[in-house]
Amino acid sequence: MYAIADIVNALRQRWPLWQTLDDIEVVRRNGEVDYTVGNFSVVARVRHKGFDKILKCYTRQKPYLKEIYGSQFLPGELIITDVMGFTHSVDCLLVDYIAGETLDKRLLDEACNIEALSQAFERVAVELLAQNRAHGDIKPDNIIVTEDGELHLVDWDACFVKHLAGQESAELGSSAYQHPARSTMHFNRHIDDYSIAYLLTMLRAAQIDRTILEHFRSFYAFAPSPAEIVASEGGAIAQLTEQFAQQGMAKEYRLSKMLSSHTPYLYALTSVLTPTIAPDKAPFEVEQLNGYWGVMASKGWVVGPFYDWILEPFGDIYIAGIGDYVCINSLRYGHLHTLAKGSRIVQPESEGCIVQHASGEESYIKYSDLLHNFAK
Amino acid sequence: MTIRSIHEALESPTQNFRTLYCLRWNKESLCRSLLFAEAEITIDDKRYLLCMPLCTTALQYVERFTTIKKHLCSALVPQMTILRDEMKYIDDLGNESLCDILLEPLPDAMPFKDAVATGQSDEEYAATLLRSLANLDLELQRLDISLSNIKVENLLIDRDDRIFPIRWYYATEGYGGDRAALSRIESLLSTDRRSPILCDTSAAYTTSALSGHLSIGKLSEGLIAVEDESGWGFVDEHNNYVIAPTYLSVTPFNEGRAVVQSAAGMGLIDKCGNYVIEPRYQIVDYDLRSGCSEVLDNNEWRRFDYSGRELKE
Amino acid sequence: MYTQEITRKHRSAILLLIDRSASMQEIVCMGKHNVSKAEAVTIIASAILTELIDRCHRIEGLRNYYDVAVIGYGNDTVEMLLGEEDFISIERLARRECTSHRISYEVELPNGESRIVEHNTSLWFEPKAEGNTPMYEALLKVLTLVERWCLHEQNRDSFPPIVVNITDGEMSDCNPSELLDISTIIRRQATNDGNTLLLNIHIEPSVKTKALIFPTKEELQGASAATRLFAEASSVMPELFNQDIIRLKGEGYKPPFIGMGYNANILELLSIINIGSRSGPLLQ
Repeated sequence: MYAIADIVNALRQRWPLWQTLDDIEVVRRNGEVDYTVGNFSVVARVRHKGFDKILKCYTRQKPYLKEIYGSQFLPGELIITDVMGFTHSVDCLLVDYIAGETLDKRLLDEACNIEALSQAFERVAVELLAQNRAHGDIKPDNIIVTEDGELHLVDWDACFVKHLAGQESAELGSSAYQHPARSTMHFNRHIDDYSIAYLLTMLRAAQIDRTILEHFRSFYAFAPSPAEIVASEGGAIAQLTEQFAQQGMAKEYRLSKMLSSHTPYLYALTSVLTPTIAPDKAPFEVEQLNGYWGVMASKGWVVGPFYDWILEPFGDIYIAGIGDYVCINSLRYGHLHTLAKGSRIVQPESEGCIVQHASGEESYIKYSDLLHNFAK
Repeated sequence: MTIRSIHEALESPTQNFRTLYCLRWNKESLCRSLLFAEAEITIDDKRYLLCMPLCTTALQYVERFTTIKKHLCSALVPQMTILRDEMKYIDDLGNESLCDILLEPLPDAMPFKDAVATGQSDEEYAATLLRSLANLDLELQRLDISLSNIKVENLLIDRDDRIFPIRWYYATEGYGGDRAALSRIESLLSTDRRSPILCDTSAAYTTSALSGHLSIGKLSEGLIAVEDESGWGFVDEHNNYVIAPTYLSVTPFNEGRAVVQSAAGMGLIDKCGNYVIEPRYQIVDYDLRSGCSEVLDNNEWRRFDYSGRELKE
Repeated sequence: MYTQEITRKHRSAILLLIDRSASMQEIVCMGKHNVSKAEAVTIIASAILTELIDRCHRIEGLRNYYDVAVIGYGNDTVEMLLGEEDFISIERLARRECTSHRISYEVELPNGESRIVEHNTSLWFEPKAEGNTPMYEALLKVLTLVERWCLHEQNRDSFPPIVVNITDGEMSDCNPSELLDISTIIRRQATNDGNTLLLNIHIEPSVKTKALIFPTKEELQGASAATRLFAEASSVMPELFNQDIIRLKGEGYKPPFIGMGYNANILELLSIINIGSRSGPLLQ
């Protein structure tokens, strides 16, 4: 184990002692080494051959780094001196610098655009799930928000790559974003499933419930935690799930339901996060995938497979059920209206539908009125 | 709160006690047990044990016991009283504070250890004491309580050979917790006598009998001074020599140093027997507080530090 | 048990208890230099405190992951050495003034060259070595601090406190069974995640006696009464420390390990404290 101060002290020297690196300069801020600290590392900004880079110096040896990073990993690269006067060679990693701030810090900002952040995170998640690797430690601290609003995952030390298939993982990620049953035996491309579903659910929840971010800003973690959700078999998140259904947020409803899974693997996650296409060209067909219903065109999903049931669209309008709620949606504009709990469609027609409310009374809803309200 | 707090308060009771301002105290009785600092006091010719808690949890045992003890009827069980905010003391921040005091009345009886000493040389009296211990055990069983603090130092015995335990502050409901302690005391009075114990620690930490020496000193910092034909030296708890017995006299080790006297003079050694100050001085006076030694050499005083380096003025 | 991660909501507590009696004036070897035990322990304890501050360093500033306290005992006195009567947060510690301890080393590089390297350590308190060893009084203070910390609402679910007692000799104000009793009461203070961990480290480098570092029960067989006393007064290390302990001791040893060191030299002291303060749960 090496002391952080000893590594920083070595970097502070006019001529740090490198084993192989040359043309490298440690960046300073206000005269001091510009660094931050992780659980097992000191991360300093450097310029290497004229490029802005990050030098990560490990305070202890960690497995699999060569397999994960390849030639970016530099074993025993920096020589440091400890408090007893003994020298040690510290493993380092030299990677590109990504300018921005962590998602953790961004969420603490009252003015953050939570909608944009959640969409950006979904884009990152979809791209990651399509790869044959997994990050292993997804959390806001490991996500950089760049100036253009895009998100980038950093700190891949817990990563799974196919060369490591069959091994046990060396790290389990932060329990605040992991399934409680995740163990070192879970080490494959699916180890990010739960973290992605959890974080995306929470970011979406923050759009409709301001207490979510209030709690995060007070306690630096979301509530309920994964452990609470799984232990309560979804009870801890039931209210949020209901809110998603009420608001017609079908994808989020489906994601939140997944969080009470007994295993870290969420087999339906990829299908729920499948990107949708614009409803340009009919015909549209109602289809199901993994037990849930959506609307497909010839080239892909127009409405993702989120719903418990769905009626054939009337032109642009379709009626679908999610949980205890019935939604009237537009293929082009999305969610238009949710019926009150306990209501049911008695007679769907091409211009509107007759609805029977929980009280037994009936009323007629005209689709054009809903579209008109939406346009307003 | 430290043992010094109670000492300072007892020196001026009228200023520092709310209701016990008339107390008189036995200065030699001031001591510390596990969680209390205590002293023997007298109020109106009655003797009490005054106990000051040394941490916040100390009184919780007493509070628990006093609620269950209300129904007990026995001369054995004293009427303990907690006096809230009774004693003034100066806390760590230098502020005046108040603390609760536990008052335990003491019976009119003598220390049991004196009786044990007599019993060890008088078989008949030893038998009497064993009967008294058995009666104590029966009474504890009848009351269904355990003291959890029985040892020789915590027992008194009256003229009728009745034994009274003191220091009831760990007492609990349920008989049986004192059996092991009572057995240990009984074994002191049995005919199978052992060699003198060198210190009053629990059995696992006393040294076994050290035989083969003319004199045996006190156990200190893991070493015992012993005198043989050839002189004084030090052995460990297994009677193995650590420092050869070649000295005319030695002091016990204190903070890793012992003063020794050889034919050539006085010196100072470490626990390996190495000389910190060579034994050629008239006097070596080792000061525990500073770790330094004042040395008289040819009628001139010199000063050495802990490592034996001379300190020049 | 012992699974709670250290977060800003669930801080951890580390308490160093340091013998400052006269015998700590003894000179020992610390790496390439000879210093008194008092200086060596001060440098190492200060290095650990600096490490804890550094571990909390993030882009946005310091995160309060730890509450720390240092208690010194010697000459019938028990003192809080960080200027406050209770635990202090890492943020407050970082704002305290400290002195700088600079020492130069000549280091030999892998290519055979030599270079003079200056090593800086912040010293958070001054070394002192005077008088007797009032360890019992100090442990009473520990009990008060730890009990209060564990009972605090915000700490109820946190990883329990870690107490490290560094001494070179015997206590002067209690007998062994009293030491055991107070150590037991300290170890009984608990949060919902487990009991307080008490590590006792005896520094007395001796060429005659092999040091015992995180010993197993088997290693303690035949040990002296004083060693066994230390062992009984110390906690058994929870599982999450085992990997680093095995790495330190060697592959042939199997847990459970006792949280203690006996006859440890300064390097071994540093290794034990490192494991006690850094091998625990991760910071999140």
